[in-house]
Parts: sequence; structure tokens; C-alpha cells
Amino acid sequence: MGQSASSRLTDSPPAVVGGISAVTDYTADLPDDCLALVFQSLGSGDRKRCSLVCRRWLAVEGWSRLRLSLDARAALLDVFPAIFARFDAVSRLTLRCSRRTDSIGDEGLALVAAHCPNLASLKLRACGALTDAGMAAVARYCSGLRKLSVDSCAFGAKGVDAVLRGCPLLEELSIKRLRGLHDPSATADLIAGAASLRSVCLKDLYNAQCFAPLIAGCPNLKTLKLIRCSGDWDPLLKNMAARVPGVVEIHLERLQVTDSGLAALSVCVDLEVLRLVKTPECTDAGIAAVADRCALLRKVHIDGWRANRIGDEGLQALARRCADLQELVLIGVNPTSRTLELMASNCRSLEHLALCGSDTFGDSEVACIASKCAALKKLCIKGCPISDQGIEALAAGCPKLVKVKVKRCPGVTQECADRLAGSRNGKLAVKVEADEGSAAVQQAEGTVVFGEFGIAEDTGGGERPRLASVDRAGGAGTLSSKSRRTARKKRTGFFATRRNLVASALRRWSNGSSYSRHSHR
Amino acid sequence: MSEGTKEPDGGEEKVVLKTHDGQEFTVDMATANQSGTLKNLLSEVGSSSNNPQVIPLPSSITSRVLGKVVEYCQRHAAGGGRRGGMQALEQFDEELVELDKDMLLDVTYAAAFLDVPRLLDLTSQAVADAIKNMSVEEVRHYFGVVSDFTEEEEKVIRSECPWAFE
Repeated sequence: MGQSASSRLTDSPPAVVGGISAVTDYTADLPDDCLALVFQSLGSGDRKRCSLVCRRWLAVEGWSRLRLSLDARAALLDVFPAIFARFDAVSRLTLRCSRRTDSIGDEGLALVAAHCPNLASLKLRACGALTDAGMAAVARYCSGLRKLSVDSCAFGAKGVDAVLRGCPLLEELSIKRLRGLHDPSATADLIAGAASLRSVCLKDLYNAQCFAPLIAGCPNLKTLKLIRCSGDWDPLLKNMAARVPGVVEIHLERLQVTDSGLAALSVCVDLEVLRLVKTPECTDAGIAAVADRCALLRKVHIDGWRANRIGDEGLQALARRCADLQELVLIGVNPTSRTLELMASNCRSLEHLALCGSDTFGDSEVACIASKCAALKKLCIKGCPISDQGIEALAAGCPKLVKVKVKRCPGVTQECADRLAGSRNGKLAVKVEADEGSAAVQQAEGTVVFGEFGIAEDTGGGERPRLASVDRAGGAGTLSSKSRRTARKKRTGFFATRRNLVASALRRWSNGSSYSRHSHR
Repeated sequence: MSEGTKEPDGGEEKVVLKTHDGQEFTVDMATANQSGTLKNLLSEVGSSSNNPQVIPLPSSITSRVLGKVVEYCQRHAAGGGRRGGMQALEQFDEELVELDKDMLLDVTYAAAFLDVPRLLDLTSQAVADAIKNMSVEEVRHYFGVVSDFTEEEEKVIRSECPWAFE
């Protein structure tokens, strides 16, 4: 931590000028609200250090902290009173424990909930000691909750149900690795819909099917992500088609879904984002059915798992029908040059293109992209049979290109990449990474987040789905994208406070008691 | 453009901002309206070109500080449609907050007082950037803040369940 960095003192300007101590508190005249605004732009480590500066900073940092992340080991219960005496405005709380440590229990969660009536977002990570009763307490005290995210906890569907019933504003629900869903009797009579829900994510769940009636009963649902959840999901997709027509984003990964499910899904004509990852039963026919009706599709990610069941036919349907396509990621799919040509000529706004593990994507295909994709900004090629010749072809085309990433393409040399980058006056970044070779690296890379495209890319190849398995990788990736999002939220979340600030400034102003600020110059 | 007044001759409405040290800044309504505080005030009292409203400002906003705020408001009243679009505007913002720490804090205060939200964002971000990754001692040193914790207190806060906060 930074406290130990006092040796860096020499970096800052001297406080002693001409032998006379010139200590002036520059912040003395800064209103608390402004100080709080500064704190809003700092991360939690910096905030923690700021709180140690002086009493005033400690107090301001305390009441202005909206977001708190606590280690939820059982002993946290002892320090709760002190924590919530200092941070009394928390609206976004994360309680994170590790699986090997005893977490806080229901009593603790109830205490937290009672102290945070304005809680808008609650994240629970690996809090193994929580049961449905703890979640019921959340539902009782935090009726304004908008987001619930649960990962690696042990309570059951009743706990989720209690929150859904008690929090009528809940918009986002994310359930990952929840271990208490086994008991079929405990999943009976669950709430069958919530008008407020806009986003549902279910990941690595055994018996996730118990939430199917809920999903089908959310008329305002926009985003649905189902990842590695066991069971046949076609019935849900068919059910949704009739009742949840406004879905905009759908992510199906390692699921049992077939073409008939996709065909049903095509009723959702507002669909803009489709991610179909390792769903071995989906074929060209299913993709074509979706493409045929969902003409608004902007982002499509397909991981065909090298099964060759999705190929030219489905992709050509996309190319013909979805002219607004901006982002296309193809992994383990082998499109022919004829298909790529059609795609490049019809989808004029294609900005992001990624091909990974495509045996058919060679130099002539790159040349085709170069000559036809005028809007392309980012191109990513991994494990494809391309060479320097293909990279050279890019130099002549794609005028808007800003980033090219090449990985595991032995035919491409660093010199060639440098030449390409050099040809664009610094406007284009070209990155070439060689074949790491080692099996461990390959394995780890299997879930490396597909950077700018924001998808967990799995190039592991032969690995079969392990449904309801616990703790697959990918956590790091999703975390990083999340923290970026939180940073943004932190900035926008300040408007409320600012209003108070202006109100108080005006009050002081109109009272004629203009700030008595001692000049510090 | 303005709310609350009508100029029969179509002349541009002006408002005069007067600092405590006696300097006057005459600005048009589009510029003044960048400030929520002034906009509110002027929607009630109005202003005109022949007889512009004079608004006195508190002593803490010196003419040097107000100059910065007015510069920001004028530029943003003109918007991104002029002089190179949004990119140039962003660059302008960036350069505007390249200030000494005392000036930066004063402009922060003025932006808060006058309710210029984007400027307040800019300056507070700049202050935050300045102290990012500094140790406690460095932050104190940088701003000249003298700790009023007793040694005991500071020890307690420092040791307060260090594992509890991630």
C-alpha cells in the first residue's frame, strides 16, 4: 500500500520556502462537496489513503462513499458497527469472501441490509454461509434494490425469489454458480415474472431451468445470457418468443439449444446482439432463420466449435439480411472466400472483425477484406493460415483501420507488421504475437477475454462442456470489464450530490454571508 | 436563447459579472447560461443589452479565477460545431485545467458555486489525477494539510480491520 511510500516525499514540492515554514492548507476553502467530488474520481486505495489525511477528509470520504467492497469473512460482523457509522451513504455494496474462509451469515447480511436502506446494487461473492433467510432480509430492508449479482453462494432459489418479490424495482439479475438449486421442492412456486427486470444472466448453474418461467414472464427483458446451464433450453426460447418480444441482446453459450429454438427466437425482431458460443446443435438453418427476421443485428459472435455445422449458408444469410452488422466474431468457423466477399460487400458498416481458428481464412481472404471493408476499424486474426502477404494487402485497403492483432499465425513476421504500422503515420497499431507453444499457456488462453470485442474467447479446442462445473476461468476478464464500467458509473452517479452542493452554495449566497475565504496566495 | 426576457430590437442580451476585486466581465446570455446558477437567477430577473444585469460574485472568486470560468463557458456556449469540432473542444478542456494546484482548487470552487457541471467534472478529475497514487504523507504535503489526528487515532484508523476493505 501507498502508506509505505513515504520515501517518495521528495517528488512533491517543498513545504519550506526560504527557511520559513510556508504550510498553507490549500483545501481549507474548498467546500466539502467539492472534496467529495474529487474523491469520486479516485479508486478505493486512493480513497483509503485520503481518509487518513485529516479528520475532515476522513469524514468527507466516509459520507461520500457510495460504493463499498468488503471482505465478507465471518469476523466482519464485529466491525460492522464501525464501518457503517463511517460509511452511511453506501448504495452499491460488494461482499466478497473466499471459498476456503467462513463467510458472514444471515445475521450479518440482515445487519448490512438494515444499515443500507438505499442499497441499489448488491453483489455477493462466495459467501457460503448465507441462506435463503439472509436474502429474505435483503428483500425486507432494501426494497429499492435495482441490481442483484450472486456468485458462488450456497443459498437456493427461494432466496432469489424473496428478492424478486420484495424489490419491485429490480432491473438486473445475475446468478452464477449458485449451489442451492438442487432440491426440486424448493424451486416450486417461484415467482413467474417481474415487470422491472431488464437483464438476466444465468451461468454455471445446475437446475437453472427453475428460472425459466421467470424469464419468460419478464415482458421488458432486453438482455438474456445463458451460459453453461444444463437442460434443454429450446422450450424457454419458444416461450419467450410469444411473451418477451423486445429482447435486444442474447448470449447462448454451451447450452442445449437447437435450430428450432433459434427459429423461435427470430420472432424477436429487435435483436441487435447475438452471441452463439459452442452450441453444437445449432446449424446453418438456425442462423439463417434468425438472420431472415432480425435485420437489426449489429453484433454477431459465433463460435462453431470446429463442428462445421455453421458455415457458408448461415453466414451468407447474415450477409444478405443484416446490412447494419458492425461487429462479427467467428471462432472455429470456416467460411469460404465467396461468403467473406458477400459479407464485405453487403455489410458496409462492419467495423470490427475477428477470425479465430478458421482453416479457410488465408491471404486472399485478407486481401478481399482489405479491398472491400471500407469501414473496418479493428481486425483480429488468430490461428489462421495467413502470411506476410495477407498483412501487406491490408496496407492498401481499410482506410479507417486503427488496430490489427495477429496471434498464432506463424506466417506473419514482426517486420511485416512494423511495415504495415509504419505505412499509416502512427494511426494504426499492429500487434503480432507468436505461438506460445506451451500447453499451459494455450489452456489459460482458452478463456482470455477477446479484448476490444468483449467476449470470452475459448480456443481450447477439444475440451467438452462441463455443465454446472464450479469456477471456470474467465472471472478475471469479466472483472476487468466491470471495473471499467464502474468507473464510468461512479462519475455519472454524482449529479445528485452536485445538486445539493449548488443548493447550499445558493443558500449561503442569498444569505449574504459570502464565503469568508482567507486568501492563500 | 434566453428565458424570461425579450429584446424588441433583437440586440444581444448581456450580463455583467462583477468580482469582489472590482473587475467586470460582460458576457452574452449563451455564455451565462452555461452556469446553472446564473441561468436560474437570470430567468427570474432578466437582463438586456442597454441595461445589463450586474451580478456581484463572492470574494472567493477572483478575477483570475472568473476569467478561466468565463473562458470555458464562452468556448462551450459556441459548442463543438466551431473551430475543429468535438476533438478541439476536448483539447481545449484538457489544456484549460493545466493549472497550479491553488488555481485549480479555486476554479473547482467557482465551477461548483456557479454550477458549471462539466467544468466541475474536469477540475475535480484534475485534482484527483494530481494526488493519485500518493501516500498519505505526500497528499498532506502536496496540499499543505496538517493532520489533526492524534497519533493514537491515526494508528486506530490505519489498523482498522485492514482486510475489510478491498
